[in-house]
Amino acid sequence: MARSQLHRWLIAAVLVTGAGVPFAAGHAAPAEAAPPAADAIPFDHTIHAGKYAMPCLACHVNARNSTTAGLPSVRKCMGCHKFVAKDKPAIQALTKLWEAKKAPTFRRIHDLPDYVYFSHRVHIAAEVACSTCHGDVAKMQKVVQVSPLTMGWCLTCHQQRKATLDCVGCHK
Amino acid sequence: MSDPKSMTRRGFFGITAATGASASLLGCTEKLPRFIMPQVVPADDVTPGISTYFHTVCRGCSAGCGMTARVREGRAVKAEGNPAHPLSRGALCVRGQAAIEELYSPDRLTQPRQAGKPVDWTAAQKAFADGIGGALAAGKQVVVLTRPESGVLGDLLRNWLTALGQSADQLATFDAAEPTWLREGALATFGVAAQPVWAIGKARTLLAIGADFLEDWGSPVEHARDLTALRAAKGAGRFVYAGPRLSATAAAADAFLSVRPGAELAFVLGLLHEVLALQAHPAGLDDAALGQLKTLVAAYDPAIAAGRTGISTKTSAELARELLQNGPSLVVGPGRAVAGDDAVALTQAVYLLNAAIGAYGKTLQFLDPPTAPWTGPSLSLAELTRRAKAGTIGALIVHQCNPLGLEAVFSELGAAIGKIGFVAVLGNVLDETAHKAHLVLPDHHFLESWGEVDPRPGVHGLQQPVMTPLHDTRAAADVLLATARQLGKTTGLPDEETFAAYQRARVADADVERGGVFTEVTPRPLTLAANAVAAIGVGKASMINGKTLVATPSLRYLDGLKPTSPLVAEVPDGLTSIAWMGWVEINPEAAHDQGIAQGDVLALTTPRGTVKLPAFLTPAVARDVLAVPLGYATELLRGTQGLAGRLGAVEIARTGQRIELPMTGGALDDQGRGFAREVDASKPTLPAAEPVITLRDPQPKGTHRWALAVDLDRCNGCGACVAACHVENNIPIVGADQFARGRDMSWIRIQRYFTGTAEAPRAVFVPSMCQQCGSAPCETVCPAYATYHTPDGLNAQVYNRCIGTRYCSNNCPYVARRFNWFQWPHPAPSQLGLNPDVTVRERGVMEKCTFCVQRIREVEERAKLAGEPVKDGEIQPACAQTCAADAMVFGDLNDPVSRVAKLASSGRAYRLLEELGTQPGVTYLARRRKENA
Repeated sequence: MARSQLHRWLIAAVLVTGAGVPFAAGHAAPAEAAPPAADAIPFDHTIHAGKYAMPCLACHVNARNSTTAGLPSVRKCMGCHKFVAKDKPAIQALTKLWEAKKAPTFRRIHDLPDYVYFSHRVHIAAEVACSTCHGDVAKMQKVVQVSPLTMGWCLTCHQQRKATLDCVGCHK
Repeated sequence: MSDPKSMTRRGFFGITAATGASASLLGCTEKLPRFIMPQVVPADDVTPGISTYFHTVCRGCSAGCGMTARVREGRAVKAEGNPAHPLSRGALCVRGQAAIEELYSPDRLTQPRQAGKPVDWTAAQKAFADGIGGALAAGKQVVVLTRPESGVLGDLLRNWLTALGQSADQLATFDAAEPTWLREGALATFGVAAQPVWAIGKARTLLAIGADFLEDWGSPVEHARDLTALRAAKGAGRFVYAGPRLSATAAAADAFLSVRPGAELAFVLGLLHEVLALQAHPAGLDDAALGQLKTLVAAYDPAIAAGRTGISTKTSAELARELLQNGPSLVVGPGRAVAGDDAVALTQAVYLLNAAIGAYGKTLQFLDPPTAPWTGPSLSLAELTRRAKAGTIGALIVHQCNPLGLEAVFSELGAAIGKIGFVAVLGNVLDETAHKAHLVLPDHHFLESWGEVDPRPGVHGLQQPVMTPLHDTRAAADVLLATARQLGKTTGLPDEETFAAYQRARVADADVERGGVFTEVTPRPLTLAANAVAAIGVGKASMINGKTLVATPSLRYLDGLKPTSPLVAEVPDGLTSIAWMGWVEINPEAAHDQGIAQGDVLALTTPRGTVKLPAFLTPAVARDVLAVPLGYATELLRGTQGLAGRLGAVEIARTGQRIELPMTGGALDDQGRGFAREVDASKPTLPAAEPVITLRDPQPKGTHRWALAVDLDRCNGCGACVAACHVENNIPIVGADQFARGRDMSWIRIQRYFTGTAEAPRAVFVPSMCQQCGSAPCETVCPAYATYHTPDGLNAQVYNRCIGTRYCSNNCPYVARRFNWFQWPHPAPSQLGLNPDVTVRERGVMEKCTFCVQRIREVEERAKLAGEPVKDGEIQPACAQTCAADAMVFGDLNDPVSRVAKLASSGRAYRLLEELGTQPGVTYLARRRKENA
């Protein structure tokens, strides 16, 4: 099963990371590559979303126009952190990564199975608040999953809002 | 549990989940730690989760069709046609569809190899420079053998040779399947050494002389598009095919004339006789030529010609009249299957017939400069072989071609190449040539590199990289440029550091975005050469008594090589429905006489060689004709010019071995069940279907009713839809063994049904997929509610609900469902090419055609966000998108003005097994027949 597990990790990484990633697929067989050490940068939502009240979409820009919300690019982080909080060890670690043109790795918290198709942009357009699924992230030093993200939970909301109940709306 | 009425579906699962039988279900719920990474610097044109489209050019063959690559998260996941390209106009063939598979193939070279062992690039680059430098120091020639390369790379290859102090004509082009007789015939007839351009779309009456232009001949996708245009035109006449075998192109024709192999020249000259009898002074012929021609064809009066060809005088007289009166007309040919020792003479006769019917400049064109991307000074393969044997070549660079793959044809080439001191291959895979090379340098795949492709004047295709290279490969041009610098010989070469930078600086952004620069070119005026008629060497053709063999072309092996791509190999041949291997076609009656049964392995011997192939019994060939697919019979083509396929007399011997053919088709015809219907073109209306008496529920009313219409008048069984479906829907490749066991996973198959009679066979291709029944038999038997009816009329399959009872498959009258008997592998790195919008199915799950529901939902999502309704034609399933013949139309049946709704109510419309009350969502339009003029 190890092979298919890593395969799934691979798909997940590709889904979120995109083109600029130093993704050495093919050089070594990717299925054998070890997953990177996660959470090297202790990102704190209570500072960004809490103390400074930055809106979610300020960093997760793709949520409005894409299926996936994505993470802000390292360049975006450095847009502020070139000047801000340079004395913090985490920011120094981030700066090092930026200079080496490397990306930090994070553990995925909100994870849907591969057979579920979820589109952020449709939910944003329907004015579903981010917190409906992700909880009050502004109060989370470390993000935790507050919603069960099960099919029954999804459908309860879909029923209330008269959204689609068609199986192939999400399973394709 | 005691009260069955209280049992709910959920309760049923609650009970069964506790039993050992469903333990595997629980296994699916394992939770894995997964990781996410941000981009470092976001790419401007890439939004994760959203597809980006790049126009480029397909390099699967030398046709140079426009391609649009769909890129997700920086990886190409689907290739489609570029609608802006004037040749392919949005379509792609089987091989074009296989580009993605090729790109992520585990067989690709990932690093350089020297003497069979992997080395790094520094060592490889040094070895390359040493090899070239050594040849130069020894005063020997450096020769480049390449696939047809035009534009900037073609120029660069010549300039590189010049910079090394070599002659620019030391560039040889490997294009084994180029029909050379068409070029030689043009030289003899018009004094132009060029390939003609057949404007099939502008013709009203078309005659093909063994020309399988839908399967072969430079630009099959363009020709398929053109044939559909011909058919759709007002006042369209007939398309008549004359040849030895009912090929896929012949099956697409209105009438098939079975001309005896070897009698094609008599047939064409006989037609010329008739044409000149009807029109004494054709505008296309001057007096001198006319006089000579009349003398020449005098010997071919109708009765004599008929005696040799087997075609009645009435038929050829009618044909001659049609060609003259229902113009513009065009005679295309001769094709590979009729090209024998008299191929050039036959070509000249065809050109003269075109002159007599006034086809010049209208439908038969020669463009200026002459049509061929490989024009310019070059070395012939024969001359290369001679020089190599003589020892004058010190270094040979083989670029993106595999000449030794055809060693059976060019038998002396292998030994000649063996004598060259340094052979380097710049390519993508370890093919036959690379195996024998001293040095192998991995090139980028065409989807990763720049290039220019000029299949003809006015069509300048621009090839751009659609993603960053997957492996540690280098552009061939960069290797050459670096070597020139190392050797200090850079005169006339670009200053730019890389080929990409050089190419990029030469092209405008708008042109790259369009996919090329496309202009109208006026055909060059033609005059007959003085001895155009006299040059026809009549009498060389040898008539054969007994059995003759023809090698037949296909898109799968149009370069003469059997398919290297597993996807191309897995898509069955249209006419035989055989995948993965070669076969020999034999007439059922002839086979019966000789006691040959289907699958019997026969040894076929001609003076050139012997091949062993299993027999396939088919009415497509006459009693005295046998046919073999070109790519699987190269041993019989030894020394032929341009892989000419009329192979002459053949001896057959049984080997005693019998095999199970890997094929999808069962019976030859539809056994009277009305799958393949035909109507008379003069009265194209099917008899009204009897009202269906059924207990099945009526189709529930929803907002949409997605449906497909398939026009059997257009489908030519090419199989591009099958390949497109594979790539779009992550369908696994099962291989020859499992294919022979009936475990192929394709969601769409081309059902070929022979109609007509044994003497005058016809074939109808019925692309068959899930019929998306309005009242589906599969839905009612699923205990898991994994297959159900959606509000928009789809018969959906939810993989994560499926528990693999296979009841649905059992109950499907259309055999549309496929069961995953195994966990099919996607060997690394091919998993990178999977469509991220489609679930990869696991073992034990049923799957089937979904009408590409992911595409429907994507368009719906976009329309919803834009606040607009979905427009007709906006949604295209992968099969309909790639169809060069435009045979498939997708849309909403509930929208009365949609194209599909109009087609579904046409007089030719019928549905498969409608009498079962299934209310299929797929409508077929009966084949129109114009047997007689």
